[in-house]
Amino acid sequence: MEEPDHSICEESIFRKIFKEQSRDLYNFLYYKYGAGNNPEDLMQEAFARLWDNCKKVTFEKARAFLFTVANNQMLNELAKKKTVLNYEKEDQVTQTNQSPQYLLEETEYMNRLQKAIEELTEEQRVAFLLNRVEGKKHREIAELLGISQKAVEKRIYKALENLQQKIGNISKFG
Amino acid sequence: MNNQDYIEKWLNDTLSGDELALFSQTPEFKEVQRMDNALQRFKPADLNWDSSFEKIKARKQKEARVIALSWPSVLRIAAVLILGVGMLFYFSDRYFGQTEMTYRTGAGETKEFTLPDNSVVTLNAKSSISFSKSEWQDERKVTLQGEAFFAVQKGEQFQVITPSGSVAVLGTQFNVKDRSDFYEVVCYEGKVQVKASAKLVQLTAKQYYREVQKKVSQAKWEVADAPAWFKKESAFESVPYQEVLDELARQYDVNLTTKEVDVDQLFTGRFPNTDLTTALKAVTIPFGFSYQVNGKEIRVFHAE
Repeated sequence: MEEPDHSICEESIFRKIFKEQSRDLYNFLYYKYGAGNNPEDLMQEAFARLWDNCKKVTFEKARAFLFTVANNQMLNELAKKKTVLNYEKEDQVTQTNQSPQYLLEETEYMNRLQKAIEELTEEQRVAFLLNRVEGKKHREIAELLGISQKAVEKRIYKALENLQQKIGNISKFG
Repeated sequence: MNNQDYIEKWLNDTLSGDELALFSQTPEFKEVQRMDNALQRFKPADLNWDSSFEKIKARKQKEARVIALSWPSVLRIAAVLILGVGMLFYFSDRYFGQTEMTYRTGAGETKEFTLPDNSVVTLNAKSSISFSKSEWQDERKVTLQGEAFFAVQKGEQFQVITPSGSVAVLGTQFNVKDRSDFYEVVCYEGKVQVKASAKLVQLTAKQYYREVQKKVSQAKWEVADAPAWFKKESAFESVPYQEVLDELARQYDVNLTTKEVDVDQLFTGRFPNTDLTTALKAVTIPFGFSYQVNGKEIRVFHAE
């Protein structure tokens, strides 16, 4: 019989878990619920709950525990705010000396993309953005959401299809 | 291989060198590439992780101190018991929502409730409001189904969440109504901020914000200092007929059906909440409709 692992109650260990998991957890909550639903607070709450339960949760199970808690947190709320995802207004990649025409078109493209992303289902949005923006592998996402890799692939593909449908016609002019 | 296969493979990162070379010639590739670049701008801004960690620690510390004390064993057992009972309450609160307060009204009923900060909420018929008693100190937030009037004590932000939007105020008087396909916020005093359909709108006294079947309107409210339903009446200004009938059904606990009636046409007027016959006349005569009462079933129809 193995002794239950109490080690994550130690602050140093707990801090290590926080360092390793907080960004993923925050991104997950952000993509799921949007900026308006206080993803930082939800993230902290999940960690606080992990600490409350540190005697029952092993180091290896900490990640799964955090995501389960985070995933369930908002389900109880009757009404949550609309999902809002902000984007960086300054494009880091393109040069600034672009024609006004181009900039206008670009802004419109970004706005359409933003709206289209916000309108995706929670499931599609999370899988898609974790993959495209965070570069998470399908296998990782599957593990994190507790679904099959096939399902992840399907969500990502469907999300892309949805986005293309919604913003597609603008790039035809470009 | 068709486009879909290419895109699927591209998403999976499993295109071979040749395939990628072929795919990169297509307009589809340009499109997905452009989107991929644009998507990078949606990365959330970085947090202050250290301060975030400190906040988590702060929640934990209270408990840690209790455990660290060294007491005689009897006391220790007592402490464990107390802690256990405390935890039981704490978790049962969390999981079974015992600090979650809900107030409700039935058909034709209005009721007044006082919130922990002495703000007063009055519920119109068939409405409910819920809030967390334990979190009230940190956040004045209520969830509303239906319609209610709020007289809010001055203080930190006070929020009313409904399926269609949220209203935020500091201290003021206002009415929120969220029924199917009908969302309306009326400000009677002070200032309120409405967030709905991704828009943020400021209302000052005697202004209203309305969303009917996703169409937004905003205007000055010309009536009274308090909602009509305070005086046992229901008043409407350019409201779709369906919502007028729904309100009547809520006030009198009846079922209303219509026949050959355009339920989208706008109604301006009022009906009493205490006299069914007068109310039915008030909503049918202006349009030349008739009605038929059969117990709780009422049919409104277009008379020849």
